[in-house]
Amino acid sequence: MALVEVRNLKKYFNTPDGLLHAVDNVTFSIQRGHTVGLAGESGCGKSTLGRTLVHLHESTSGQILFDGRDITHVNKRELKEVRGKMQMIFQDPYSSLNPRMTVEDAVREPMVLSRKYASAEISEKTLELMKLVGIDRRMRQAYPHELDGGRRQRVGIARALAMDPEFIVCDEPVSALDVSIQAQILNLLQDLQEQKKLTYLFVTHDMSVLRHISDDICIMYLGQMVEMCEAEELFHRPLHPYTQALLSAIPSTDIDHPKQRIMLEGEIVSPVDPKPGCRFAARCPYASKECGQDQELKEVSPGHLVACCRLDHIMKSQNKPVQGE
Amino acid sequence: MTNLSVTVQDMEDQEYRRSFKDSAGYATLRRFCRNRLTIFGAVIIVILILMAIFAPYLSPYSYSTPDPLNAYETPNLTHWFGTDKLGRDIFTRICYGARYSLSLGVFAELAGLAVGIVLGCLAGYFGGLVDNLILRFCDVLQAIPSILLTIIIAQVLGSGYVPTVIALGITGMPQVVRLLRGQLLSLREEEYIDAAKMVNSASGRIMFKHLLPNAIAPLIINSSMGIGAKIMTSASLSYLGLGIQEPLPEWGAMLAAGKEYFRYYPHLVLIPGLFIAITVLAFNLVGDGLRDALDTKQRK
Repeated sequence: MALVEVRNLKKYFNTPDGLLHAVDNVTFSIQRGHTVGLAGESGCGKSTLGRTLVHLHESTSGQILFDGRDITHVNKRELKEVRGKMQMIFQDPYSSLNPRMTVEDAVREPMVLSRKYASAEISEKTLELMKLVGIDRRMRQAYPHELDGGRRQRVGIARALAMDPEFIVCDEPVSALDVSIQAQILNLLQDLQEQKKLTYLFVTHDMSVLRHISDDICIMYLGQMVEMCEAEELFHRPLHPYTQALLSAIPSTDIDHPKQRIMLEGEIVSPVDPKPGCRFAARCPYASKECGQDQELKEVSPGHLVACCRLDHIMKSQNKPVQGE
Repeated sequence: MTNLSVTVQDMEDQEYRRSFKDSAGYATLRRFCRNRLTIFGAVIIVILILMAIFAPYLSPYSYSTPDPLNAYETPNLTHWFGTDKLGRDIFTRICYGARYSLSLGVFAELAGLAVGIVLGCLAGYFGGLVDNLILRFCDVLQAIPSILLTIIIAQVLGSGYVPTVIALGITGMPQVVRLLRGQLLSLREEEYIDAAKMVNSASGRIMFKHLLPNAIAPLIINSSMGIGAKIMTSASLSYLGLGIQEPLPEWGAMLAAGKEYFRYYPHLVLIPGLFIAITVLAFNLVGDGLRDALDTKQRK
């Protein structure tokens, strides 16, 4: 059974210009122990989706199920319980640690607040966690400004783990880091997943990171899911025109086979009170009249869902069979 | 180069030890001391404080006993700053006056801070209706010219030390509220606040453990300047006869008492006036120095 299930989740924000549809009718699920990668361009609502899952935002409508239990609307006491199981790793390690708290303080705070442990136990567990995420114990008393980005992010991870969660939303945890450190943090996250049987929702806009870490991938465009499937399938057979464009933007090192870059034209539609119909239509090279209707995710081959009504036409023009080879 | 490698080696080998020398406070203190004007201001404040504390030992005269035989003396060796119309030694009165002026400034600022921090935290953290109500209340207070507001409050509560502290505290409070609210509004967006929510921190804990310590620097700067401004206002109040009254040697009151004889005995006005000016200047200099030392964004 899926650990996290999201059904028709919506998150709208009130803005002076109207309702901003940050997350619109999103349905997906995450299997226990899996990593679901969530990708899309800046402002498409992927971070909002992650934050809504852990109740940093109140959802507008829809359902969030955790381990089969509906946690969409919870009271304060239940929220505490939920947050013991769902944690978050934040994007910006320079903003996610309180500048006035030492490493030790940051890691032990969750345990102090949970009141599950005696104080000797907390000190012991703090050192254990620091060791687990690879921070030397001599850094206990260090303040965040004395650490580099990678170490700060490790502290953020230790803080999340201190709650003993089953599910962690990783909100672009490596996008603010140097490439060399990105790899270390990604490996750490993968090791931790194996050791602690964690489940991740991994938000990113970096396609190579996505491919490296994900079991399944969801592609979002302006608040809606446009394509969902297994990671390898997505990279071998992207179907939605937006996914195709996104993947064509990955730089290639193969000089013998230069890639055809699909350049998107046109403006991004505003997410404030969007018109009905496919939101990608304005930039889509295959758009036609039918795209004026709302698109639904359809299973085109087992486990591969795409929200595009022009799929047959696209496949034909690209000489690809619609069904898997 | 060799030096660097030694440091790195030391870091690796040794337990990470925290001494005062590598604390943020020490760095701030060093930046603070680099500025000569700031040091000048700080020295003046220290001298004034010493004058206030040791007033009885600094001069053999009483600040209140009249000595009509020696009235209107200009500054000389026995009476360093001369005497006033009742023959009281002005230096003695200035020393005792420092007690009133300095403590008034500090306590009025603290009173304003105490109320301002509570209201500012509520407004900045909860936002919405609470924020709106508190800000409109501050608008009302700030719409009335501060000296007028102080006069009204002083009238209602009567004149004297405590009413003056309250009056000055109330007029200074809106500025603290606005400053703190603005700080909290931007700090609230920091990810460590979300992180604190994620580990089930209660509102009070977020406010006092995560928000307030990070908003404290601008408050300190503001308060230092605020003390100077409050000393000035309290002197104006005394001058108007609303603050501390004769025969207590408040500087503003001394100024008022001397104004009729200004043309013949200018030292009656010049000396208390000079002390008010120097004190306010000193607090402003220290405030400027604190801003340079504490504000990491302005640092070169």
